[in-house]
Amino acid sequence: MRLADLIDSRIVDADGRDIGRVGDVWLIQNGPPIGVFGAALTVDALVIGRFGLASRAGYEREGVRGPAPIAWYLRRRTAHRQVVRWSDVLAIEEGRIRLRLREGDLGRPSIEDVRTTGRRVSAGLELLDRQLVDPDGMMAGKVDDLAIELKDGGAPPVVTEILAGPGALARRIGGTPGAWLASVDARLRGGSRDPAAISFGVVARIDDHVTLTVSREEVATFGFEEWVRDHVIEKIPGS
Amino acid sequence: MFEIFLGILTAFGGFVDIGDLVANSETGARFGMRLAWVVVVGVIGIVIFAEMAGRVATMSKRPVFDIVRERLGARWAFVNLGASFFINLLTVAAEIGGLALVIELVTGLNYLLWVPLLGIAVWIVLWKLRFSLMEKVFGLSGLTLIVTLFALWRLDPGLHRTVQTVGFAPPASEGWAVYAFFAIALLGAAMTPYEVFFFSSGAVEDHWTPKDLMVNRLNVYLGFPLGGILSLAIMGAAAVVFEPHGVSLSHLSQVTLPVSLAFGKIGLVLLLYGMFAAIFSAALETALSAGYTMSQFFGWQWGTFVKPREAARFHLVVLASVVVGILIALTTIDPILITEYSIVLAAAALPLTYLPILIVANDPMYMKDKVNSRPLNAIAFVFFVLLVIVSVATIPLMIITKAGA
Amino acid sequence: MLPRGRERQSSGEVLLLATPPPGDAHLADAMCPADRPPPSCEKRFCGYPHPMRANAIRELPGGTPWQRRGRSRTASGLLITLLLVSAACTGPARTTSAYQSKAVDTADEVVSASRTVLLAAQLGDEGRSFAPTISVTVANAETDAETARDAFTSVQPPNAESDNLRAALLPTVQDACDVIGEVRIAARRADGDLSQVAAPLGQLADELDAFSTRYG
Repeated sequence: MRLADLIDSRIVDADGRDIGRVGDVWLIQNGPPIGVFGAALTVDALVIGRFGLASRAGYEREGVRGPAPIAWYLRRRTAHRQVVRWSDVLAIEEGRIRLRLREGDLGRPSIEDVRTTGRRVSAGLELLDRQLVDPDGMMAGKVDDLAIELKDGGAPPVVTEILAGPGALARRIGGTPGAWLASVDARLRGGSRDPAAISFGVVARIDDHVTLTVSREEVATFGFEEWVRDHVIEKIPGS
Repeated sequence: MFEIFLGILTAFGGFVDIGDLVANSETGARFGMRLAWVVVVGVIGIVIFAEMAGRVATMSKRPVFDIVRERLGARWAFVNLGASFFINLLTVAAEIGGLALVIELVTGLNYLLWVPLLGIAVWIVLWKLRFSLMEKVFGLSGLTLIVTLFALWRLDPGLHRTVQTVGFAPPASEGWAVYAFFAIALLGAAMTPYEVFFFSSGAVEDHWTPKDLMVNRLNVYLGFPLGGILSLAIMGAAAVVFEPHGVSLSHLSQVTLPVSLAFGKIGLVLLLYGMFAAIFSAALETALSAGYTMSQFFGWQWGTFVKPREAARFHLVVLASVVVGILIALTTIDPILITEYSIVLAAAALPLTYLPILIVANDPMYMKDKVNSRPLNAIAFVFFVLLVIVSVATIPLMIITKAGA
Repeated sequence: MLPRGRERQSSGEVLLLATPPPGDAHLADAMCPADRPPPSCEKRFCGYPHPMRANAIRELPGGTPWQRRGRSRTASGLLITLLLVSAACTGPARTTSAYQSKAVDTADEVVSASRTVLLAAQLGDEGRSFAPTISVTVANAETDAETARDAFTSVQPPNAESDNLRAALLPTVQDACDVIGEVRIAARRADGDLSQVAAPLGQLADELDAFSTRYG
């Protein structure tokens, strides 16, 4: 499934009460080895709350002061949000995630609380919407979405692929703009609505951008760039 | 040292564009200097905004729209992209239209004839010339607009009459709604978003390092206020010549009259040359901004520092924006009207771009030790509140005042 | 026929697990292309029960919530566009005061155009500007004045009092437009002595100014 399906799904606790939406997904690097990247990222926890500006502002991290009123307001929105470990998830239904626990039993750790090995990565804040850069330093698109492979027996799902391109982005944008973007993209790519998938095995490193080990020309998102280059830019003298 | 001086002068000369010319002279003719304070506020605003954006781009190597998408998230950043791109297109059309109007004033031939030629000229310059050379040539040429300052002094020695009309309220004959609307237009003309997109993308293109931050600050802190003084001179000249006689400005031709009055043909030549250069540089910047915003949102390779074939989609968007700008100008809608809409809508769209930059400028993970200081944060926050108020008030005021009629 | 994945149910932790209702089998097939077996299609579930999933993802009636929000956004977008467009149109005048304010606006416009022409004519004669620039300035002013006049003449006066207003204003406006037209012709010919041709505008502008002050 896609990360975009997880984010913004409703969460229902063991008593059947709706306790909010998935605001963010925390990943941890302790999955099976995948290519150059090493251990794959797995889904560690779901954070309850709206995934808006508050989560993305980064005020939950230490040291971010910000203009005082903005910092105060956004910190209030994001501090001490409830967190659901993946082991507490019972089932995933359409647009809904069912938990084993009751709302009161949920903890409120911060992302810096390290309980297991490896650093937690917040998918929404540190992975999604990051620039993809190839080994030559050329830009290869953005991390528009992630493909998650669910495992049997309640093992945490593994992040297998990065989905890039307007096809993937459209789902996250949602609404009429998203649908419009999806149809434009489909028309430009000749009908297929599958987003371009980049296996996590070719990801070298994640810091403030995601570095790949393959040249951008090998990534499926290059198709449009190639088409424009061949049919438009090359035709103009001086390119 | 020379480089710094050059940088300041380029920022100075490149500050004014068709939006400033139109907004400041229309306001001067209608309100005297009663809205001069808005220009001051606007200059402070753009100085803060541009300095932050430049610092963010230097320390994090990320230009504005990259940050916008990261902080606002895909959905809101897409809405922001849509709005910014649309306003950008309007601005390109306004700048090309403005260029055509200047050539019309020189030749007497209808401006529509010149629109396609000038649009193509803008694009050829973008295609062929190196970024820094473009910036310097046109920015420095725009300095001849300083003739307006001298013209004002000539028409009103000691600026007595000009200063007399300084105030903070509309005159008896005008209402508060129109006053507020023109204030918003002036703010949008001074705090143009494309300037910030261009500035921060330029910082990444020129590979600025923390050592360059001081130069950046000087350019911004000195160059932009000087540009603001030019704007005030344009307003003052219109105030002195037109306001007492009840003449309202609606054509670029009227904007040339005060300088002609003061200095005759020589002054007029300098003015027309300066106007052409300043508007041309703005057209270049705006077209590039269209490419920057879209490429930085979708993650495409962008920039004039790589060969065009390696940033194909970026160049396609730049080309398309020039073409659309030409087409919009060719619809015979008055370029002045297009300009007015573009600056007002630009003012309304500012908060969406301003907030992410403000937040990231405070984030030590990106800025290392160059986060905002407390005083700067205080002023920047006040501006944010102001921009939100402006944004909310724009559309209602536009409807109430019938776009300033 | 039940989807193949049923065999993949594991024991133990799987408690709440439902097979899709029979009617949904077609959904399962539709989501899972025939040439791709379920394991590699997992990222779309293919509708078969998975240890952690209860039902196949399907479209909610009426669209998903974000699609429904999208529709109301389109409606509000249309409304805003309509409002903006209506702001640009001039409507008819139904009361005396509305007609009066239109008359005053017209007078102001023509005053502005007339005085611009006067200034341009003076600059032209003093050699302080170029012929094309003067010509364009006057032509622009002429367009302004004529547009104002035409807009005013096309408005229906609502009552007799407005008729009087119209009768008071229109001749002056028409005279001003005529003079401006003559200046434009002389300017295009670079005939020299534009101030002479434009001279009546001074008086006319003052009259219109007085009108505007009186009724504004």
